Amino acid sequence: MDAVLAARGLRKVFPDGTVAVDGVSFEAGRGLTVFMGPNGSGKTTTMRMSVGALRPTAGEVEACGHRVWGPEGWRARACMGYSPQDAPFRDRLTALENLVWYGLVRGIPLGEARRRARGLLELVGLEGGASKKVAELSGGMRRRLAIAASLMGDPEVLVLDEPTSGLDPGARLHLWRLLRRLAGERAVVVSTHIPAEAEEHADRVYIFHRGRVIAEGPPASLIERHAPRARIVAEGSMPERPPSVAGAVLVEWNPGRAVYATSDPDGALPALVEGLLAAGARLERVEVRRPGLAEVYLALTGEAPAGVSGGG
Amino acid sequence: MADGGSSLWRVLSEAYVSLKGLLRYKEALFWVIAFPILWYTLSVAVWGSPNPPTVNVGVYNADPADGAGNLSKALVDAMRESGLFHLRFYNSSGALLEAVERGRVDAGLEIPGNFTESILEGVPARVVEVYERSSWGDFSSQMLDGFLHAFTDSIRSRAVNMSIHYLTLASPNATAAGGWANWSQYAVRWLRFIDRPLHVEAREITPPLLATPRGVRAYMAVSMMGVEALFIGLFAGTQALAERKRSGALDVILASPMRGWELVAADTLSALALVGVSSLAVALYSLPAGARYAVEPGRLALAVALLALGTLFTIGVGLLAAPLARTPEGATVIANAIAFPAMFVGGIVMPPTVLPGPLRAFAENWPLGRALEAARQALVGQATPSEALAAAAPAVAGVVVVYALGVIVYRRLLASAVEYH
Ligand SMILES: Nc1ncnc2c1ncn2[C@@H]1O[C@H](COP(=O)(O)OP(=O)(O)O)[C@@H](O)[C@H]1O
Ligand SMILES: [Mg+2]
Repeated sequence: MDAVLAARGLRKVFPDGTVAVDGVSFEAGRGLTVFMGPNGSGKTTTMRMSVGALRPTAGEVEACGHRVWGPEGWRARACMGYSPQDAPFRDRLTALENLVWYGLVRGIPLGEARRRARGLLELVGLEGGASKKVAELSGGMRRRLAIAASLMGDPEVLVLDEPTSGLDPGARLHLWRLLRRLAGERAVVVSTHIPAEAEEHADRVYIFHRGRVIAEGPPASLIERHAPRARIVAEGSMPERPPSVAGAVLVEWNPGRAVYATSDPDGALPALVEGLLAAGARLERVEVRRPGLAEVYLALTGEAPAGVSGGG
Repeated sequence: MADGGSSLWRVLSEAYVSLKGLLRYKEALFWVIAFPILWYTLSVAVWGSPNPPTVNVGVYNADPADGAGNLSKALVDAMRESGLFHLRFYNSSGALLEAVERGRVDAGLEIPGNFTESILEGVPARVVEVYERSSWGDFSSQMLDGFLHAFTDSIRSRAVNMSIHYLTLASPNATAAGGWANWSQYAVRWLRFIDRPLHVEAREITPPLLATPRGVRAYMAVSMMGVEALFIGLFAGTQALAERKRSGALDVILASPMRGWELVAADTLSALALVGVSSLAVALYSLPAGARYAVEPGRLALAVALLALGTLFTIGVGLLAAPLARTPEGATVIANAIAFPAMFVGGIVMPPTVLPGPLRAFAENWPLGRALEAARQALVGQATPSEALAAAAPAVAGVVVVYALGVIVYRRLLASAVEYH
């Protein structure tokens, strides 16, 4: 993965003393890079420093071979497209007019900006909404418009802050598919606080925790490394004493529910069900839960990540 | 687009959204179009016709004489025809007094019963003037006084001419003795002097445009353009950062290849465009409202340049005040707090000449006041374009200094916003 956007040792201390980001490094090349972490873990601050909106207290960022905070910073900025979490659209201007503004700000001539805006509206599936006022767009349409806006400058790197938060599952999936498509030809960096999304769509994940990156890599290898064991959850009415099952470790035991951990769920499942029934359990439901990034986060921090239940 | 595109379009970006948004945002529409037109309409209604004010005069005429020889009737008719007075009649001196006291009329005139009779008999006649001691009451009584004096003059003229007539009739044959003839010639000359001790020669000239109602309306319209330059510039300057911080647009701009000076230029251009639209709206509205301008390409270009100069100044002031404006609401308060007083004491809605001493000096000299007055003179035609230009020249230095300082302050503010916002 050739990095088009790379940061080393980013640190941000706000005047009130908050250390929002504390030594973050990352690299993003073609494909989908996801910053994952709960609210307040430093994703937004890292992104803002990376795109040139907020000067780091320390550290370096390079985009397309130019230092973002160096004398040629405008070249680095010109090669990125950024959309803040709440893209600042003028609500009474149309979707098209808002895109044209983004284009003009990037130095694109008016006629060209109009043409490009139309093309991008089509790309993100908003062709019908061109002349709609932004105030009349749904949440999902607004997010797609934000993506179109960040594409106005035809950037090599796309940086999108929480493009899916607050959307219903259908709209989310739609958006991730779009991001996937865009990531086919450029570097796309996206943040999310929902582990399931990162796990499902990312090529590479950076896990943020209290201003630091605590783990990085493709989701599968992160899971493999940090949370290799699946869980088997049995519900119903359990006997007094739990049976011991080969290849599985008891994690939770109470009258309505039993949870075992195993690195070979397919092998352990029949033995476990047999053992429980033999011990006198009445089973209503047995489920294998394969580990995900939520478990990775839990394993690394001892804290449950926010949004686990909200995973789409 | 790794080349970062062209500055020109970045500089036009804000003008694009302001103009596109003008008709869709009611508050923008109000401040840029409705407010100046509304104010203009009110100004024209209140001050737009420089007719002499009419004084309400109550009259109690007790003079019973009638027919052509009735001098009290001649006096009342003359008052009515002068157009200076609006007359109301009362039938007792008590009713007249009460009307003045209650303020139903500004002054009262009582003509006693023997008015005509006295004058015809050559005895001084008497009238009674009633007025309230107040500036308007004084003014009314002076108007009345002036009129009565003119009337007195005409009676005296008649009396003198009658005397001359009888004197020449009484003169014995002039050839007899030189003494009487000399004396009577001398007396006639003297009487003529008494009749008109002062000859006032009045020459009428065509009034300058400004002295005509249509010129005054044009002057007021240009004043409204000044009001817009004041408000729009101050809003643009004070809001430059606060509003963008709130909306998040600052992040988008900072993350773009846009540079600091381009952002200031973009805001400036946007403010100029709005002042332009507003001025055009006022100008178009003022034409059917009766305004007449001295339209020549040179004057027009000069006025446009002067308004732009005034707008640059107010943007500069706004940028200087921007560090005090942490929120968009705060910026609005600051802009209004500067603009409202400046509008009155700065010679913007009222000509500097009506202001008291020190304020007048301020109004005539601060850059927006100077630029606007020069624009008014250029468009209402009292000064030649080169005179107007010369009058505005000192303002240019002030504008350059204030705008440049404003830009420096704004860039510092921007630089600190990049550190933390
Ligand atoms: N402008 C700011 N001033 C002070 N503290 C801030 C500012 N922006 C963010 N923070 C703090 O920095 C930390 C990281 O925030 P953020 O980067 O927004 O996290 P995330 O995007 O992961 O939710 C939080 O504690 C937040 O309160
Ligand atoms: Mg965030």
